[in-house]
Amino acid sequence: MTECPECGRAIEKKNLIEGEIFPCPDCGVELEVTSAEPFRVDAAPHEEEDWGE
Amino acid sequence: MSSAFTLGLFYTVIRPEEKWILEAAEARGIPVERLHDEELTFPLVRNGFKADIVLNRSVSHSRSLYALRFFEHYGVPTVNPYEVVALCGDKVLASLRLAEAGVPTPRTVVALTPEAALKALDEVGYPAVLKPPIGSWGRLMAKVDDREEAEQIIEHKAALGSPMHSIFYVQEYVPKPERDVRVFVVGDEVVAAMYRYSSDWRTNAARGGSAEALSPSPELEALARKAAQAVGGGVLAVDLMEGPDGLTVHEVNPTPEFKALTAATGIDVAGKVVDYVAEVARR
Repeated sequence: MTECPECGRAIEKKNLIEGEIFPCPDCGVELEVTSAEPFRVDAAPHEEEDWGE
Repeated sequence: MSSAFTLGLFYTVIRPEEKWILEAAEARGIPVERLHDEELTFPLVRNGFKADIVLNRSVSHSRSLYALRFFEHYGVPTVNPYEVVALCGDKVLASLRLAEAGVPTPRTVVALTPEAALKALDEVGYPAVLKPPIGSWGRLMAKVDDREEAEQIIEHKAALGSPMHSIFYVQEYVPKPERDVRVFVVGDEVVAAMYRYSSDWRTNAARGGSAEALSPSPELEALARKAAQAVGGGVLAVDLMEGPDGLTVHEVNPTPEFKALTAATGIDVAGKVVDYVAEVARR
């Protein structure tokens, strides 16, 4: 269990894996799992100019 | 099931696509080494990783290009190869290759200065579309309705300062239904296709358009295959428009997203991608 760095909501690990991005269920900010064990999340990286398909 | 090779997944973040790829590899008994593009270093002599083949899923075009070239240098095959990504990532080079292969594309004129860009727009005719040669997700693309608008947009682009915003890729505006077509090609196989709907003239799924499964006609399949082969083949999403003169290919994406495609069609695109990587690894 950890917290959303934006709104403080409790975030459960469930089946999330390291590197996975997902929206905070409360505030919707995009988060990234920075560590699976111990479970930690941070704001997802910002899109850069050369990102895409 | 066990695998004779280790798959290196070169990635930026784990989106649903990458998670499905990891699951598909696991289901096939293929060991995966995760290669995070923010952490790797690339010496001139290979060290530090054991992957026998690399699947590129980095969302950064620049990181992809250098990394793929290094993997190639280390003798590690990649999906897609450096040459394919370099070609598809540059709209100018991709248009030239598609034209050389006889693939119908929208009428395109390239200009190398702001002054020449106005001439290029006059040649193409209004409305036209102005795109950065390198860029994705419809970013910094502009539909230009008249010369006055063109002068303003070109001035703004030149003010951005980047040399790439001073190369002008001008394309005819194709009056199409509020949708375009995406065909996902893996090797020689068309694995899935969809319509992408949007009231925005840019129908990229990343811009929030909706998707609907499409059963491709033989003509559409053949054209998508031809476009994929023209750029070197691999795992590619061919984007087409339905214009008054028929289908045209406007883009071939070398690191395609397929979340919307999977949801719309129910096809296990990730599984197809992993099977293809396994096939390349066995060559």
